[in-house]
Amino acid sequence: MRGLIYKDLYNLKKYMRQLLLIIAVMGVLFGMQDTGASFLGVYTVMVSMMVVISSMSYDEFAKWDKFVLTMPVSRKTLVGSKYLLGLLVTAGGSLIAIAIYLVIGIITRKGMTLEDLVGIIGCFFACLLMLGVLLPLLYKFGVEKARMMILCVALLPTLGVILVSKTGLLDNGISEEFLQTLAFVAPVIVVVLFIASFFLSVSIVTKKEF
Amino acid sequence: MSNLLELRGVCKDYRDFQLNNVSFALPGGAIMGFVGENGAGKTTTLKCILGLVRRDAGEVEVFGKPLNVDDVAAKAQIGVVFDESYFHDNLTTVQVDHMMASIFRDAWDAAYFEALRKRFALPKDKIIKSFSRGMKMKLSIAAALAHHPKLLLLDEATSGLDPIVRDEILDVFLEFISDEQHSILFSSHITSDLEKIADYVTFIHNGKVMFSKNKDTLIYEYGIARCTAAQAAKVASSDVAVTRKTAMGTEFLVTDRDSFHRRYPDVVLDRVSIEDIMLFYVKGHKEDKSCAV
Repeated sequence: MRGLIYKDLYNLKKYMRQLLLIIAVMGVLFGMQDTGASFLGVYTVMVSMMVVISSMSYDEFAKWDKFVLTMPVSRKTLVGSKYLLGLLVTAGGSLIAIAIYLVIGIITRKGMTLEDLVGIIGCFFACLLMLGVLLPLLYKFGVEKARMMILCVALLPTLGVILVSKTGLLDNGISEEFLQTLAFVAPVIVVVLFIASFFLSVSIVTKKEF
Repeated sequence: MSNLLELRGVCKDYRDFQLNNVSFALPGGAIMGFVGENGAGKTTTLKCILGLVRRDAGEVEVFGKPLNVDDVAAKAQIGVVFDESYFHDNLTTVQVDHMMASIFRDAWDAAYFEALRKRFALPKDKIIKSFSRGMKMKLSIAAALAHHPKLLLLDEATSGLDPIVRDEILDVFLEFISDEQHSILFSSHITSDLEKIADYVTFIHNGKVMFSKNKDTLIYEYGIARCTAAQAAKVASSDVAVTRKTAMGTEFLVTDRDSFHRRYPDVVLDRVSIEDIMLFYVKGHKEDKSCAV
């Protein structure tokens, strides 16, 4: 398991360094604007999640899975390492996002609000949810075929939210209490789904031929 | 001596290709050449051995036990080299070492890997992307040997390499095999490599094993009979394995050169190479009657 994580981190070192540079540049550009910081935070977490998809793409290109399964690595470990990588880079991205808020907060002398922190944590769980949906699809259909699906997974919820807000369907329907409960229940649901997704991926890979 | 690898009646059905009843056994201390043209089923057979694909019928035993793809203890004793390097382009040799050490744990011999790296003159800190094809294969071979496997499975590991590199690599394989507990299954279509190092030759064609024999038997007992049309008419079908017509006349592959010579003393009889035998099976006809013109 550790070896597989090393491999991904070594392999993506250059790519991640470039991402950090982009985030730093954007930090300078957007950080000073009013809503810039929150955009940057969300962007950082999202991008870190994309690192996992890139690593899958690299693996597919190198025919890595076929090779690594000839080594003392079980299919469960193979899949598990991707979920762990997802957890690690998304958590890492969230920490970087928090650091960005702190730096911007110090420079603009506004500090960091609790709202910002909750935003990042929400973003972290949203990314876990997306990974949970995406990884089984990537294992089932391969990165190339799953590109459209990645787009859908990212866009459909956004469209849904826009639609709901435009139609005003929920304007009166949601109480403050409901939202507060949701804030605590949602992460638990996400974690459960993430674990279920892992087992689904394992069963997909078990049926797969290399 | 017990078999390190044994296949019995292995079948795999793809829509456009069938692996049909593949059986052979590889004893300890031996190198088996696994020959066949491209698409004959060599890689599919190796995948069946490793459990990378599900076989539809038959049994595979590695170290005397069925092998499951999730059996990490058994897989720790196997080294596999495919026809190209599957290490990621962005890694360096040092990083490969570090990663493999984490995967193989105690079995990984970093000192041996380093010795092989030096022997193969592989750079330490350059990324694999900058390696030549030969260097990539050498890295794959070093990585497959550094955990001291008992069984080495090579899938076209020397194809596409120049003769110098191939010779270096064959030397490493011969060293590996000097231990009686070690065996190599060496899939290749470069028959000269197999003539150099193989003890056994298994020939696969259209998903079927045509023969699996001791190499010396093939080279010392098999022969090519070159006949004129008149001579060919006299040869009994039971005396030949395969018939092939050429511009010069008819050629027969015979399995027992000496007895054929006793029966037909005036027919020109030559020794065969593995390549000749392969060509006979692929291009010739395995006919029941003699090829009378």
